[in-house]
Amino acid sequence: MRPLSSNPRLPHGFSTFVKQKTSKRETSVEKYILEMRDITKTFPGVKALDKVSFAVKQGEIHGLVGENGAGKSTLMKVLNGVLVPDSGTIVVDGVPVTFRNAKQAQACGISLIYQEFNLVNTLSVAENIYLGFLQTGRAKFIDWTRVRADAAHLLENLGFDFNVREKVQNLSVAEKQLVEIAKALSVNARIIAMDEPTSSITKKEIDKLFSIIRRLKERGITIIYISHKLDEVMAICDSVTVLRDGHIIDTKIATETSSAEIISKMVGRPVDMKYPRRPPIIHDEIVLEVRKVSCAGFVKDISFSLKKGEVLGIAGLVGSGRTELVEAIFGARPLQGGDVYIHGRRTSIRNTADGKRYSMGLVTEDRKETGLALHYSLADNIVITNLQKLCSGIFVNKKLMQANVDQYVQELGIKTPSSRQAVMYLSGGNQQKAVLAKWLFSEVEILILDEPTRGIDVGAKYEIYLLMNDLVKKGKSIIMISSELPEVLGMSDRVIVINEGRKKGELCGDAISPEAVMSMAIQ
Amino acid sequence: MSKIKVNKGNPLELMFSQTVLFLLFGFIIFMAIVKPSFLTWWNIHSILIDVSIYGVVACGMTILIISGEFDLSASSQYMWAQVLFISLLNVTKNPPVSIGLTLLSGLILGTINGLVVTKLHINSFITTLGTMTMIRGLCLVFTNGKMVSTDNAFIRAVGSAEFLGMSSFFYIYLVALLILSLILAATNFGRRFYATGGNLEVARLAGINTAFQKTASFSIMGILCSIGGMMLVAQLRAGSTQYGTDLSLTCVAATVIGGTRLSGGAGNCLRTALGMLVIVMLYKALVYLGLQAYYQNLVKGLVLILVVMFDLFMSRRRAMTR
Ligand SMILES: Nc1ncnc2c1ncn2[C@@H]1O[C@H](COP(=O)(O)OP(=O)(O)OP(=O)(O)O)[C@@H](O)[C@H]1O
Ligand SMILES: [Mg+2]
Repeated sequence: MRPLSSNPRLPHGFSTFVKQKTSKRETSVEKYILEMRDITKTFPGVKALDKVSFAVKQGEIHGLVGENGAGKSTLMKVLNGVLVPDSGTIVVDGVPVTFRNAKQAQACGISLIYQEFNLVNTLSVAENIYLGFLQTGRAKFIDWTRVRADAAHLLENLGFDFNVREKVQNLSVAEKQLVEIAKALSVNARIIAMDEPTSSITKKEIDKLFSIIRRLKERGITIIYISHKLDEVMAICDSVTVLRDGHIIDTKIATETSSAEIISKMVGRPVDMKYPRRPPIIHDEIVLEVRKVSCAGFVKDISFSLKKGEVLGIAGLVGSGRTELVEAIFGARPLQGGDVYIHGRRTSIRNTADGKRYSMGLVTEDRKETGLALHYSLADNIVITNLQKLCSGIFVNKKLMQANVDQYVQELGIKTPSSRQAVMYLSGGNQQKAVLAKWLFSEVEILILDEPTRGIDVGAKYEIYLLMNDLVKKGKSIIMISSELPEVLGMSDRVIVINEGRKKGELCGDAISPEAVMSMAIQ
Repeated sequence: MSKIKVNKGNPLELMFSQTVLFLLFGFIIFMAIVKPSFLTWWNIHSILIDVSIYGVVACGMTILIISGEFDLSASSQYMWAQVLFISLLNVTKNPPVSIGLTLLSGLILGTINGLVVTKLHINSFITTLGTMTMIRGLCLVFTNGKMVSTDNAFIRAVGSAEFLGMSSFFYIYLVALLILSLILAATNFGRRFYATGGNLEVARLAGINTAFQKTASFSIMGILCSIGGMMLVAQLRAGSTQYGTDLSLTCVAATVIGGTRLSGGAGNCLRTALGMLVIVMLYKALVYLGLQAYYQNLVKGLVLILVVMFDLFMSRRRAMTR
């Protein structure tokens, strides 16, 4: 996108400065570029938004936070014209507007990065960015050279290094996220809403995104920023609005509040945000040993072992091969070399059924693609991993099933009108909880978690850490991949670091530090 | 940020990656050795005529599959076009009017299919199963199950016209192929079929009128069925409910052999043309090799499955090493 680089010599905030000067006396009363008034939206069984009034000032970065299912995504979809509110009005720049689809919102200068991926897998990066409305040249024919050049230019400006001809299906989760960001910036938006843009990218890309956001702000573009990572929100936002159960609780200037205050407003009570401690419970018994494993063409010769009762963290940048490695161990991807030993016995795991038979479970990083059967109910999704547990004779015992499901819904705080709700209608964070519940229910010995807390709110994260501690106390073992370094460090007994498909080192005890991990991850 | 790895691949690898090309060359070489007379100009010419007539309809099937839909009624629409075209010719004696009306009829039938699928939300498999039976019934009522024929001079001229030694059918197909390929590859209207079939929800959110795209793909199919039917009339100067009963499935097979996934969002007409070439060559070869007619279906079905299996195997191998 060219406008990003326009006027490079203007000082920061110059354009807003000019505006303020011309509007003379109004300098103290800043203009609201967006006002959403009394928005109500109900779904069958849920009042997702209840008379929500939300206002955003011109040129600010406005944080929107709240627990899973609070209504953040719903509010943004209403703004974007994807959902029609039951009542309420939207005012953009002083003019009341109604949008019937995303295109109309876009024409009004509003673009949204959706929480879930919104890309066509079979098409190229370039085509996805301008989907359906590609630049045409002579006689209405698409000017592909131009389209690709524009896309490449846009990505380059954002500092991303991509082949724009690559099909989206060949991209990793993080790369897809970067394409989403580029896509939102490709239309000349005045207001850009970002629904958890950092949930699947690592520190390096987050820093890049933040510098982009700051540049956008300099150009007078307004940003609405949704995230569960409060330190990010506090770092980048000018003001923060808290949403709870479909109600606006408060809007605060970021510098006048603290994470602790925001959290207590979100949850309705103060929350302990430390990682829960657990006594050392590691047994000597090695449950899983991986010897010189290679897979996916670039992950080479990785060896490590996992003890009973241990939490092993796998750290590394996005794209370093972490996901590929655990997929290969579980049988979701072919091994191209090396051996996997379980309880000291060599195994030949060829598919996921084999992995399951050796009592392994894998919580995959992409809940929508590989984690859930979206059209099925929450209950069905949870029990699928261990139906035997619920069977009396050849039939599933419905009562037993309901009791088990209810237990997980309660423990994880999954917000849903009923366990019979199709998971596609749950909020993003609640879907993630469903994926976790499914594998917690399976009671496997070795649980592999790939980005387990992606999109999960602070309160529920703590619950999940407690559940992990419970599991290891019961003698299970856990492998955890996470892009959130503090989480890996806070929860792991031992950490291995992967870098470009190679194991770069192993840290345990006091040697585990952010500096040590990062230096191995990027060297 | 990890850079996306592009595997270079040698020419042989490229060949294997395009299963259909591999198959085509393999087959030609095989026939050249086993039965060199198969590759006479006369034979090739007759293969190309068949490819042209079926290929026109297969283009439509490809567009439908790209958009994530499917049409079982193609064979019935094709029959109806033959019957209607002949009747119109015999009654009006005016070829342009007959052609225009037959095209219009195809457009209407296709659009009806499309509207039932998109507005009434009935799965395209069920919808076209229904219309397939209905249109077939219509043909039978119309003809009393008898063969109909025409000896219109213009049609006879088109049927026997040649240019540079090639039948006019071949040029009709070529033009259709070029136009449709151009639309698919280089217009927003065409690219929206891919978006719609690739991910309906994403396409909708991008502001694409997905119902329109789907309906349009059925309408195009209707028109192409009419063109195909009229081409057959020009060739045989007759029409019957017996001609082209296997058309729908042959078109699907050609699309799949060409390398288009049934799941939608990918593919193109040129690939399907190659797929159709493979199928028609196979049909002819079976006859040529003197295989009893009853065995032919057996072999055709087997080949379809083998090709798709091979293709899957190759793409899985590529995915593994990516
Ligand atoms: N299409 C739908 N049908 C039914 N219920 C829905 C639908 N979309 C959202 N909901 C419900 O509305 C409520 C608010 O959901 P929303 O997605 O806005 O939450 P959120 O604040 O974005 O949460 P998260 O942090 O988990 O993404 C949830 O209880 C959810 O189950
Ligand atoms: Mg959400």
